[in-house]
Amino acid sequence: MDSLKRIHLACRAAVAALAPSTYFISTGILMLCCISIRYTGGSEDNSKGVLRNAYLSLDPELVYNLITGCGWLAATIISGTIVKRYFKEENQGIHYLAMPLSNPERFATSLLMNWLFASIVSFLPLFLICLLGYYLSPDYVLMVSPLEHAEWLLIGPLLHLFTLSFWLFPTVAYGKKAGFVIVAGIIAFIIYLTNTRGRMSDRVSLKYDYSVFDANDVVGLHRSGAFKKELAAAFQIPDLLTMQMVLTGFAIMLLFLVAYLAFTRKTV
Amino acid sequence: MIITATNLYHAYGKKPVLNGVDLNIRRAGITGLCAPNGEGKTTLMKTMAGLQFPTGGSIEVLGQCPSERPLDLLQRLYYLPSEPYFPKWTPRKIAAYYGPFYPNFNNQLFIETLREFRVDIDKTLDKVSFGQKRRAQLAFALATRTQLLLLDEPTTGLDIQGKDQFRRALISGTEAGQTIIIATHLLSEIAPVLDHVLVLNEGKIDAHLAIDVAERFYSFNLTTTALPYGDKGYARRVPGGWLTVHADGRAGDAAFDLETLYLALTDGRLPRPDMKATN
Repeated sequence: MDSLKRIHLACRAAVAALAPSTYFISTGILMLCCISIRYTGGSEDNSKGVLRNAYLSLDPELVYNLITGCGWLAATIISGTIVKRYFKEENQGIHYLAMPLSNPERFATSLLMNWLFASIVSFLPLFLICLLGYYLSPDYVLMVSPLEHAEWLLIGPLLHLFTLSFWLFPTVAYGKKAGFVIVAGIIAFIIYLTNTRGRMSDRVSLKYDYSVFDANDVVGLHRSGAFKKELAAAFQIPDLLTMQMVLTGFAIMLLFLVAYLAFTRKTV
Repeated sequence: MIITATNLYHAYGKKPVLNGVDLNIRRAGITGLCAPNGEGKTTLMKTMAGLQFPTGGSIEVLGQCPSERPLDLLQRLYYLPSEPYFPKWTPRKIAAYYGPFYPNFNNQLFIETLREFRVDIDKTLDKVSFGQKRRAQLAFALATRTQLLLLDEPTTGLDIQGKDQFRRALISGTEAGQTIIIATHLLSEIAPVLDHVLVLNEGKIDAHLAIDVAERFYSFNLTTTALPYGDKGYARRVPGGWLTVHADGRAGDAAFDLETLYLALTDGRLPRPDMKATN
């Protein structure tokens, strides 16, 4: 039997061992996000939202962020599930990557499963949902065609590959040592956030400029007397940003779980 | 040479479990590996299977280093843990997905062993009893027909018929040239089929005996009184008196009993025959 055949067999066994719910993780996360940021439930004043037949504009960047964020989180969960099973089997000596494979074959299988398969299962459903939404959504929902931003399909998996390279492969290859690096990386990331985002104000100071605001003859500014009274304009952090922070926190918890798995390995 | 370990050392944290294991297994056959609880039976087997890496020393299995996990070795070795992870599939599906990894996997043998074990090949393993599940796992292990088979507590959960069928399957495995190492506490259950016995004690191989040599070297007697003071034998209380073991060449009137011999070696510190000559 040649290497490709063995890799195929290993991937086939790994895919067969996954629970059916794996295929719905990304869709589920997207639904949760949509509900929590009230695309379906309407805005705070209950005047917008798909369920209320009200006008709704989906910003392309927002859709892009949603696909990338939800897809990445789903892919990380799937990879985490696979690697958790790998460690379990490794300790118990049965199946999947504990089966007879050479080290390059094991690496190829791991890459195919944790990156390619996890990416396809995570990002493709989101893309198809957006595509379906674009064609089936009523006129009052304004959104761009996902086909015009097909690069989303590539950016998400690349992001997943980047983070995967940070935690998965070192964890498999170096076990406990990788656990220390992962924990150190997470701590560094938290310190970075504390020193940057944590200091960010939700209000932005606008410099008072008489030369602009006092000019009553400028179109659009003649009724903006409020600008003279306000030293700072309100700047609301979008809901999406809050969601991103929640997702980031969740991802960090997953990484801690992986670090725990790395630490508790018995082989190294 | 099938297995060679030299000064093998393994520790969990600061606690050494294997503390200078020296081991040579040269010939095919069935070897029983016995040790008190927590003395490193499973660790030694996992080290042989390349699933655990030794902290020190070296080990070669079938001429290769198991911790490097070379493909050739993994295809010629199967390790069945005491509590294996098996997917909740039918035995037929398990064989279809995992059998092809082993070049000598014999599907016909798998089906026949399952039939002999009275396990339904089309019933998922989450819907059968623990004993049935264990039989399916053993059937898969035996059907891999690997050169080296490592079985950790294989008889756990088997009924009397199951144990008998298992012993017969082991014999057919050795007839096909397999080397089988069985880690167990229940020596009496596999004693009839053993060729060698390994005693692991305090992290070292305490004794490595060929059964036929041991049968000649040790004598067993049933007496009504305990051993007199100064006797260098070992006596075990049994119904009706004492079963004594001696290594001084005296004649014996009782049957060879492996469990009593194990106790005599570990607790009684009886002398061993020349280990190099017997293996």
